[in-house]
Amino acid sequence: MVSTPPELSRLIDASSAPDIEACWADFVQAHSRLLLHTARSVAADADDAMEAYAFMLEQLRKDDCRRLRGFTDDGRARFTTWLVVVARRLCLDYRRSVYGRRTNEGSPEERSTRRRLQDLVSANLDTDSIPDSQQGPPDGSLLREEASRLLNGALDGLPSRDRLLLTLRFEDGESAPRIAQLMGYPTAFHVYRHLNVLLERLRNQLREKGLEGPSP
Amino acid sequence: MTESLPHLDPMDVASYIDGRMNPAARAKLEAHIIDCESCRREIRDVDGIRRSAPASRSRVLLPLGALAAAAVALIVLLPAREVFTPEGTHRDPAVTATVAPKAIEPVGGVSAVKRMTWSSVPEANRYRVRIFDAQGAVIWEAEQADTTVGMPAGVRLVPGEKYFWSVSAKTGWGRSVESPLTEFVIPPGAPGR
Repeated sequence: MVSTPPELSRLIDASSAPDIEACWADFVQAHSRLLLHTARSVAADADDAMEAYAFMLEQLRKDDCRRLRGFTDDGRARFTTWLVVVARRLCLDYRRSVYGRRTNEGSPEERSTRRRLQDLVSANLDTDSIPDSQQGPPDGSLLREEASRLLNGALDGLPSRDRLLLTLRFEDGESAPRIAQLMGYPTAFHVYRHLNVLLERLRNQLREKGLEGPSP
Repeated sequence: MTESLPHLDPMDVASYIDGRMNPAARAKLEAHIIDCESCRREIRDVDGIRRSAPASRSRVLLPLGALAAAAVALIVLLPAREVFTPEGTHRDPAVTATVAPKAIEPVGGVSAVKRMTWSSVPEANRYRVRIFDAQGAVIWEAEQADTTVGMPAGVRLVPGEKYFWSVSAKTGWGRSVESPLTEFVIPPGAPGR
């Protein structure tokens, strides 16, 4: 499966300065919309996007197009997808060089908006039977810790694809349609069904390990 | 793998998004991104950029005469039957340069659903809108030329239940482009419809 577009092949093969200049112009013309779109997706505003775009072109052109030469046409990916990955990384490099590393990456505010997988699954696992640590008996927090430990053990036993599904849904808060696109499920309904199966499996595993539901 | 290990190579990211990884490589990558939030974010972002990217411009500009000749040749030479690949399967859906319709309303939590509205698609002559329940069953569908349609009285949407809808724009003979599934829910206690 050949993915290298002809304008890239010509650019890489060009040897004389005028040829390189002409081929570079062709390459930019062919991909400028995608590169600009990528810059706009990462940038804070229009000015920032144009600055990032200029930086991106400069870096792609640098060292005899070293980065573009890094694309391996072995059928593993489309060139345009690969180009977006590289362009986005360059945009982030630009932003970091100007503004420093994003301060909200992994910040408490951002994390607080995520639905932690453990909390959510625990809520679905009859842990309501565990007394509230502030109102219940003194060993309430120990029971919660035990439930957490059992749940983590059950999660560790899942195949990585299932763990990724749970992470995308409950930690990253991705919608089912987006997860279906990312992970290659046919539809969002397949995602919902599989999530339900996984949650039920986790519940059963915890019950088997002695975590019971509410007493009648 | 954890975040302390090297991040993904751009080729791996692109290959995963394009769905071209072999199962072993895919499993290895997925094991990494479970714990590596940075790589997970990269995959999500790049996939979003790719899906929202404008259609690439035509690379080759043929003279009008050549285009006309090519069109005539296609009409004359192509057999008037379905096209099959050598493997005997149907061909992939036709690639169109048009944009997909976008759901405008209802989206997310809504107090009631009186109508469905979506963005128009250039060249589209008909739209088919469908509503699914949470199990994926089609509970209502309609086809029309306008970009909005009123909900008939007979369609009962239950407050508290999740629903999904999509709209497909017909842009030509055998060609269509479809919106992503959009979720909506009428909160319990709302009038619904």
